[in-house]
Amino acid sequence: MAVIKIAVVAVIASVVSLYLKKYSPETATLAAIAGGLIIIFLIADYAFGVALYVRSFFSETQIDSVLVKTVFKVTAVAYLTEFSAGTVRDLGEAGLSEKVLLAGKIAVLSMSLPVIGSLFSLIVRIVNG
Amino acid sequence: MDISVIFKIAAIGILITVICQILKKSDRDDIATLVALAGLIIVLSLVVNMVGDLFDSLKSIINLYG
Repeated sequence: MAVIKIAVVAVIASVVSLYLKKYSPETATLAAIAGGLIIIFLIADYAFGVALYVRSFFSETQIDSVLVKTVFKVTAVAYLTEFSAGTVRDLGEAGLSEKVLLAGKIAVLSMSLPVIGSLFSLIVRIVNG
Repeated sequence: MDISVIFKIAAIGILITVICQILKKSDRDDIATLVALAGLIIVLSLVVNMVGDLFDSLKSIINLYG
């Protein structure tokens, strides 16, 4: 059901932004960005449901909460980077969006270092027997 | 959060354009640019508020399920 609403919102937003492009290009791009945001908000409650399920799934296992927190934080940062890079690309600054993507990758890497560290310690423990 | 925001942005865009045309015809180009700027700022504040809501929902995802 939500997919139909998303399709409608996407089409209407693109038509409006196309129409506005003739009068004022900046407002047209802002309309497109607003359309994207509305789509995200429409799908947000499904995303919360998925996050809830993943969390309950993780809580059964004895994996400590640092890993789970990192997983969710990395997901949020990755999505945010993707959103801002797309917005910047829409506004015509392709070079800038590449830099945003690079910054996002580095941020994700820096956030996932503790997880990699615990993985290595696990491997060392297994190897030493 | 439904589709009314997009129609609001479209209405602002068209209204500003009409006002600018009228001002240009009565050769007050400086006021026309100011009106265009004002329209753009209104639309920008609208979109910035929505981006703020997006950041809040992302932050709640991180804190709630951390």
